[in-house]
Amino acid sequence: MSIPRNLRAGFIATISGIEITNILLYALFGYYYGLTSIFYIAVMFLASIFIQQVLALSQYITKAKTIDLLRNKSKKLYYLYTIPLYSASNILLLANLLFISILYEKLLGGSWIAYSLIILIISFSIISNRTNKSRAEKILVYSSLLLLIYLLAFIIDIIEYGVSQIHMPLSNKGIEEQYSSFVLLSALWGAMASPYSMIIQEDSSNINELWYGFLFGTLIGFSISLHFYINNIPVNSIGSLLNLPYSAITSKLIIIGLTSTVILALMSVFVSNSALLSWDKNVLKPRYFDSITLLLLVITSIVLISSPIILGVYNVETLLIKLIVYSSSIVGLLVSISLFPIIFLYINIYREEQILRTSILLNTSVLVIVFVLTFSIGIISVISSFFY
Amino acid sequence: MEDYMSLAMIAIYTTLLLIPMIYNTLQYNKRVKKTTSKIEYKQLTRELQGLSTNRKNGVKVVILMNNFDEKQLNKFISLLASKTLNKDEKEARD
Repeated sequence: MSIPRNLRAGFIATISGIEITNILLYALFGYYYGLTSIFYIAVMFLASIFIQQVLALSQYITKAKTIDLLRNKSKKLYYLYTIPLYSASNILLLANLLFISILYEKLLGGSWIAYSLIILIISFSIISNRTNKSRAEKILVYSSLLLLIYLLAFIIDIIEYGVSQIHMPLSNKGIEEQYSSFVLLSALWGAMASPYSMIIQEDSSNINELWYGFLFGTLIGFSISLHFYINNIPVNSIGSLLNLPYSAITSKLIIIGLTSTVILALMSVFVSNSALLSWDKNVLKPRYFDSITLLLLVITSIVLISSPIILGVYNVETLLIKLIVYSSSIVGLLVSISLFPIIFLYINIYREEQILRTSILLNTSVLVIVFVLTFSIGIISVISSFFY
Repeated sequence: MEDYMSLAMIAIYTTLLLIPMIYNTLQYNKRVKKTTSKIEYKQLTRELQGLSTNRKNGVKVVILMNNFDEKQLNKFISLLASKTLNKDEKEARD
């Protein structure tokens, strides 16, 4: 049986693109918003796929990368695009690293700083080892397929409770919300738009793959959020994410899946970092690559070493979940800021190119709407987080 | 009530997103298909050129063929096929 290439690529890209912030926010949305959460997830996913489609289309029309086009056009726009994306992807890197290392500390004992350094070194060594890189990547992608256990859990829920039990009070109102809904929305946007994938997407101009990505992404999103909604699992500790049926086996398997997606996410962030920071047009020169990754390693370890002072004060797990949600909402704001230069770029493409003009015009106007909406949600979330 | 309001907002936003996305995909696929058929056309022309230069009386046809469009090419192929068929039939009769 042969599976269409686009379907396979979309499926694998989506599953391996899921990381801790995604899972956490799907779960939170499921718990707070019940059935409504699936609509929020679908529309946010659609918006993020739209952004990737816009980037792929500009690559197809101009035969150049967005980042190169911006660099040639104007320095200000280039910085407005790269600095938010760079900071956003590194915030996500730190969030993922903190979560997975504290998870290991909780399960196996020892120090989470050691675990985080081990995971950093593993991802660093995979990415700098050119001979075995693709093999290691393949293993990681396949082991990240273990995240499909969430889908399995949702199916088991339905069999156990029956569809009639999933009744129609649209949301779980009445539960005291720990976050403002704007913070949650902005965080969901930040988790889904994953800034590093915006950089990596630039290499491909295939639009059809993205639709399959949307299909599988929403499927996983629905299953995670509905699993948490049906079982009414509050997401306030790390362990709640491992709350699955047949937990003796599944929780261990899901940890393998989580670890591999985190490593994949770290690798993608490393790649996009070097793409963002190198001045040369020929991105990913090995020299730049290693030096930048090393620099990042040093910065991260400094942050990690200084953070026990912060983490020692409060209840670590609750603080960690809050930290991830708030940092993800800041990522959402940063991603919206980086949409601004893309709008200008599209106006420029419309002036210069002769093909697909209606498409360019439509994209530009909807990009403006997406920018205004997500940016205002981001700003309101920052303001409202002071009152919660 | 609040839930239904937000659902309506989501529906509007979704439609807004879907319009350019579907249009992009359709236009993109149309263009990609066009380019591939162009490439196929070129390849076919090259193959036919090779085929006809092998024939003794095919040289004149080759020069003309570069100006052929897709319709004419199809006509030419069918003509060539019928000619070959006639030749084969003739040989069989002999």
